[in-house]
Amino acid sequence: MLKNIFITGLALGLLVLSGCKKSFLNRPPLSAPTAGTFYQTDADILNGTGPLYNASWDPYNGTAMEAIGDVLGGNSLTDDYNGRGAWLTFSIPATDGSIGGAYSAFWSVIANANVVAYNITNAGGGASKSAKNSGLAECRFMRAAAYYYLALDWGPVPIIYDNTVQLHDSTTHRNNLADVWKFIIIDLSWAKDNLPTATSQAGRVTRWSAEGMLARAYLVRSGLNGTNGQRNQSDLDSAKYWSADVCHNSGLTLLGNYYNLFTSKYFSGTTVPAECLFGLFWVPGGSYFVHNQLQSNLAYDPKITQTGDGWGGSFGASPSLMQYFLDPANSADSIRRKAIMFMPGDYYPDIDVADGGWHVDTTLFNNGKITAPGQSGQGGIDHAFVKKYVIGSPKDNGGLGGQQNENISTYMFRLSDVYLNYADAILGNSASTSDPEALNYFNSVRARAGIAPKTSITYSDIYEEKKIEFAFEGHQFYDWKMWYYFNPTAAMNYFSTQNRGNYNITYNAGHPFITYFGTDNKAIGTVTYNVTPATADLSYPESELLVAPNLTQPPVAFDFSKLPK
Amino acid sequence: MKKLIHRGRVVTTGLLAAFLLFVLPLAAQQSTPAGAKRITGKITAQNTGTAIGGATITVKGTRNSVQATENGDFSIMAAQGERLVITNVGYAQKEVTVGSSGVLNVLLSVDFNNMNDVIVVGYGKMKKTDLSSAVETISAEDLTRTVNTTIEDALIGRAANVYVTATSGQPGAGSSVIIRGVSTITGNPQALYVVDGVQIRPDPPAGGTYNQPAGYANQLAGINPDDIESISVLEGPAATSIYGAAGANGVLMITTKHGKAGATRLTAGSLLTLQDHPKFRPVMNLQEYANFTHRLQALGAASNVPAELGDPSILGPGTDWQSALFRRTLLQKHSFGVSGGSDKSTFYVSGDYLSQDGIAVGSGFKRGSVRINLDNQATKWMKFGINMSAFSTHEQVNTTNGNIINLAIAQNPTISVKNPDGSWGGPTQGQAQYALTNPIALANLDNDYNKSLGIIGGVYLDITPIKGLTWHSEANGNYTFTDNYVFNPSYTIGFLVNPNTTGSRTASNNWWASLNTRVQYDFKVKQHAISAMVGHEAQKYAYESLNGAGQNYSTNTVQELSVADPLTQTTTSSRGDGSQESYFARLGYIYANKYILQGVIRRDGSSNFGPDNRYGTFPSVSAAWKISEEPFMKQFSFIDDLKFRAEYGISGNTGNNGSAIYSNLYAVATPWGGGFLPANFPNPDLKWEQDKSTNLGFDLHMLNNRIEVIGDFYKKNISNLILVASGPEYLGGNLSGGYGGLLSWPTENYGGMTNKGFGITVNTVPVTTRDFQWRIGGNFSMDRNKVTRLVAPLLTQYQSWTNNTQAEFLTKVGQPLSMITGYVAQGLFQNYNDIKNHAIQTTSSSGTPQQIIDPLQGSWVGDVKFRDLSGPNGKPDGVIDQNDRTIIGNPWPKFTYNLNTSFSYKGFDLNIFFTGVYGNKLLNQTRYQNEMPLGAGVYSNHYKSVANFAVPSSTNAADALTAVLTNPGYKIPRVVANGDPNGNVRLTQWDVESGSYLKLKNVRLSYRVPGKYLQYAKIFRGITASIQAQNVFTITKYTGFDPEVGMFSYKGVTNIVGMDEGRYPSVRSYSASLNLEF
Repeated sequence: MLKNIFITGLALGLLVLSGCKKSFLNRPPLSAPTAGTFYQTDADILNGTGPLYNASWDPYNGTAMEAIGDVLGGNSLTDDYNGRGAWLTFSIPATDGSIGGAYSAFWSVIANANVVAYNITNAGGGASKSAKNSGLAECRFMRAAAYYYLALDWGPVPIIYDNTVQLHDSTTHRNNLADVWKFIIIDLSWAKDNLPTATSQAGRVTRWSAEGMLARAYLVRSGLNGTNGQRNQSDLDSAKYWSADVCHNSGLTLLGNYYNLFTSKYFSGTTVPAECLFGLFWVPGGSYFVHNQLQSNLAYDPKITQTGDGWGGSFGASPSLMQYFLDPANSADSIRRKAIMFMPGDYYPDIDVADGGWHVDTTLFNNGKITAPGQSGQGGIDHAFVKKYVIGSPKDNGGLGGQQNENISTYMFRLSDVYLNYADAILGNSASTSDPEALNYFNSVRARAGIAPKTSITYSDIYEEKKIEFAFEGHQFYDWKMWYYFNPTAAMNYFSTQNRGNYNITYNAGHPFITYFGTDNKAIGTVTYNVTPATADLSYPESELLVAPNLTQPPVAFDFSKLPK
Repeated sequence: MKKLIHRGRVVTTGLLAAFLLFVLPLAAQQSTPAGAKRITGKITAQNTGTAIGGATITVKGTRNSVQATENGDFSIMAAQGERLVITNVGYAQKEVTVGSSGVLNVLLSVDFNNMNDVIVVGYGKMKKTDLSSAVETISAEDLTRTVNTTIEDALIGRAANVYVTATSGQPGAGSSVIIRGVSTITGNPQALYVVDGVQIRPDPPAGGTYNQPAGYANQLAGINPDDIESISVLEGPAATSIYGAAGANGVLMITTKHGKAGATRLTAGSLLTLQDHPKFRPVMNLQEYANFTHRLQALGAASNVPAELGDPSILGPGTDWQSALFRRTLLQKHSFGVSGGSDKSTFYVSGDYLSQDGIAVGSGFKRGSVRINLDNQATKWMKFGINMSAFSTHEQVNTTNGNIINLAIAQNPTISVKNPDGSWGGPTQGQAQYALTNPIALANLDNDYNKSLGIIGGVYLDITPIKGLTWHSEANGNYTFTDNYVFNPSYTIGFLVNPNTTGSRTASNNWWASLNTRVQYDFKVKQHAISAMVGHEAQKYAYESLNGAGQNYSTNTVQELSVADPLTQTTTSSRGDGSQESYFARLGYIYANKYILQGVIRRDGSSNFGPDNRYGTFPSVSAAWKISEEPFMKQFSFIDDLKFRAEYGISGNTGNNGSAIYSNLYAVATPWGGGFLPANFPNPDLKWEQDKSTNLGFDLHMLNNRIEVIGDFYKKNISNLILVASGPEYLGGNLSGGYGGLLSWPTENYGGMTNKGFGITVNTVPVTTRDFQWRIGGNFSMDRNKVTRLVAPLLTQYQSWTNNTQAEFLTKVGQPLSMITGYVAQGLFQNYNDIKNHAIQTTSSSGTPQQIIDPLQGSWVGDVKFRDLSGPNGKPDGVIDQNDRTIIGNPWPKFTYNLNTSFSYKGFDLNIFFTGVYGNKLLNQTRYQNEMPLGAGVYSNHYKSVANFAVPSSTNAADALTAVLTNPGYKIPRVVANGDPNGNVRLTQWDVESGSYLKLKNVRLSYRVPGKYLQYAKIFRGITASIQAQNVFTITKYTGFDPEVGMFSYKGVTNIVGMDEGRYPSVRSYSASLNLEF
């Protein structure tokens, strides 16, 4: 009896225990698609590669880019906020925030490029082969671009071709620098063969972008392990060949007006000058990570941005940049000067339009009266503040933008760089050249700047031209490193004798000249800091070395057979 | 509109009807057995002889039950030969037989340890003496002894091996509650709370300037601690495994109060608490600041020194920002409860209102809650009930989310809080660029708060077709709506201009629901008692949120997005869900009330895993031997009860990332339209984690239960630990990716961990007389955690509010979780030879480091001398680099202990509660930042100690050989105007302090007015008045606000323990309360 009731009860229970449907436990994410279901059409592939042009580069596009490219490169002054003065003195600690930002950004770009490439390779049937290849080529272009920076900043670095596979590979080591450059060249060669010559969406990289970058990579590699200032002729020839192809066959031209390159009117949203071979494309209305934050760090006065930022009073043109522009021989180079830095008396009608434009106050530069001083105790420093990428308030720029968010894109690689590289490749190992082709492209960069052509050029002419042409674009250190590859003595001597101190601008009958602070910050003099082979490469972030001690071991050869075919 | 009102009325009427349905049976007549007569009597305490009011008298085997009056008198209908069962909380249950007399007086003896208590365990109840697993209980009395805003506050120190730390003193903030050591590396370490069947796993408290959550209160903050009847802490594996996958971190079973048959009882209470301000951090006053600034200026490290600082000797103390921020404020709580019922229906209705003004301006917490618990014995075989609580909370978080406490410590004393004209004080023109904002202004101007509305509850139905067999079904759920408001207006304070108004509104909701059915059959055959249960449970949870944000509001008076600049407005939404299905069974067997054996098995299926790994099985077995029941133990008559327990079981963990098996994408805007980037490296093979635990324990009661000792030893071995498998950055992953171009590392079953420890609880009653009783008890716990397997060492770099990332926490194999790392400082360089003969202090480069003795580019007299501990080959290499960073502090206590003692004399009761932690280290991040000259920027204030910064006799490179330190004996390095060539900023053991403390947590004196006085005011059954002080004093060497620095989740995936950066402090408070019973 008891037993029967028990069994009945149990049965009753089991009736209710009848489980859930199988689908009950199937809960894919609801807020966003997954890779398995997303990449189905050509349009999906474009949507998959589009963000490779912004978010991952974000930690680089700011203080890291300024610190490495321009402060370390000798184009920019800075104060000592958060210890960033170390970038002037070649004593950057492994704990520096900019090192960490750049390092993390480049590896994120590589990881994203690898994973997106994987997703495209496994994309659904709806996508065309050419769209897939073009998408893969964009991924490989991005990977090569990130490695370009990594190799020049840190030297030998590990080659990561498949993050998922390498995640648990404990044998990963740094790879020889020559192999890293080979890897970059392989990627760019593949990219040039698979990218279209023109894209439906302005700003995306094309075959010409890849060829220009490829030429630049060959040019850098030509100097690798160069002796006595001699570069490898075969690489120089390749550099010459691919730059020539861009110069002659791309149909691309420089934008007529240098100043306009750095305005939202010519370079924001989907408005992209033909000159831009590779850029980072920000979205003022998007989230924080797709905002261009350059201006907030660089603008010297919050009245310029009108969004509460404008913390750049401590940045400014370095003495070497000032020396160039104040040299009477270069007084004609005023178009670029105005686009690069704010000098007393200059007028910018496109900034603070509502108040009739921006007049750079001359009293600003009278010692002691400056409104936005540099940090602590450098007496009252004057300097010419940074203009490039400083574009004014949202109102001045189509109503778009906000704090740490300016309505302009960022140049990573411009056609004028290809022109100068072309001239450099032609110059090769000669002391100077008067090759018409070299002079033609070299002088076309100068012609736009409104300055006289040269009839014969040397390596240092090209170097100097790049210094000015790309000032505050995060280039200078990389160009220096290219030089250091094949002529370390000359390159180190250049930095070690470069004036890196503070200065005052004074006027003699209306003509400005500069006086320098010495080591005691008071006497007139020159401040220099030695660079050594030990400080020519950046150190790995300290936190990374704790997790990956293998980075301190000697680099090894990369087994190229591992690469997917 | 009319229709709406109408509907409202219908709902109200419906609720009223439902309520009446339950209450009406109160009036129903009870049938009386034949031969029944009226029995009257009085119930008194055996030891004191005083009357015991409120005891329940039941005729055994019937539902005929009454309650004694306050004077202990009762009257019940019963027949001769029937047995009366008398129960009352705190006394041993007693049975008496009705004789021929109509008068029956009963003496009850004190049950000091509630041996007859029935303990709530997972999916059922058990007699305390029948337990074979480690389960601790916390009574309502324990919980209400301290002044608590949330349940978690009340748990501090109440049970062994339960480590509760209030991560933030922000009113209403959730705490970190870790049972038996931390059991996860990158997941949620919080215990599972089961509130009347509703499973809640609160998020771990989050923290850090750059990692602030929108709010600090969790779902538990809506629960009124007064409603809690008891908490069972399930610690042993046999107890937790019934929750299978959810039980790995321990379970806190919370049971709320239910009505009791008898007269309706009303209670009302009010509590008023005055909260004191904390002990301030020692920063410079104006005069000291002026002197310091002049010295910086002389060294070229400060420009634009305001003219008013010219002559420090004539300056006053300046602004004391901390005393401007912290205030003495009130906490008030008012509550009421009504309970009662008949033998068929009981009810418990309560409500509370709590309002706590934060001690820091711009913070506070309010809660209102109501609860209705109803139970109805509908027929002999059917019982059903409902328990439901609704709450509303309001949490003001300006202070915490505006980083106000750090600002108040670092803001310089030259700026006034307010100008004479009433406007906010701000920096001068010269200071504007690097000046800090006015923290008090910000605390007042910002409007950052959260409003939550929640329901938590369930319904159940018990069907008992035959004796011993119960078919129990229940549906439980909770639903929380939260609105987050952020409004940070534009302002001009002095020369500090913030032209940007930013604001956002987020509406989110989340819910959890479960349906479970179980059949339980208990029977006894001779000496064999068997209890069997099988059950099934389905759970589903989901969340949704909608967010709108904007900037540049056209006015600061309207805080709505409608006035934000349309071009800046963004909206976003998200949602997600998950589910779990489980089968479980429990079989208990007791032989001769001596040998106890219990087996539990649970099979869980979770949506967190792919189809092949979806199900996991979690068994456990436990045994206990009541040795005191053996005949040979009878000679030890002083032992009332001695039981040995042993158990082994497996729990699991689903991880907290339901999407880890998918390759997720997230939207990223591009100029060409919306794009998508990969959010994570997927791991489709993710499976269950397994936590294998062993527990050995004993329960001892002796000397008439006046001594209770409970001890437990455990070892937990976690394999296949689910963690975020982080590696070197070159592999491109990030701890918290899925946005901003960052990919999350894959979630994998890669890790391993062991936890072992023991806990011992002792409760004694040393003295008990008619009027006086002294009780003393305490617990002692040790928990040891060790990581046994990891992909790569996990390094968490904490980004402080000054953007410094020197605070780093390392989790590696062979060590406990999250150790504090840093360098070892040996002092400051005294002279040239000191530097020359020491290791090279920095590698500001790759390649071969060189020693540079130079005031600008290298090391100099007055710089910190770091110890060379290791190199690339594991040996000291003469260079200070990452190899010399080492573990400089273990943030986990060696042991924790708590002591509670009470003295009661007649109506007076004095309770003293100590809580202590020993052997942990804390990183005093605030001191580190404010003791670095120039550390927080030129216009920041510093600790007074900074005035002792090292002064070399020369800072001219030419004097390298002769320069000496002119003021030896201090630890503050020299001031360098440009850069930090010696790397003095590196964090060292100097910034790590002992976290041991002994805190007098609470002292409470209460007085219960004796019944004889109450006769004059007949409406009262009882009046209790109390005064108490909380956090009375703390004995500690820690120099921060408060050594109770908890664990918090950082960037969603890693946990930082023992770091104090501007933590909102817990403070001393004084309370008075009055409780009335009607």
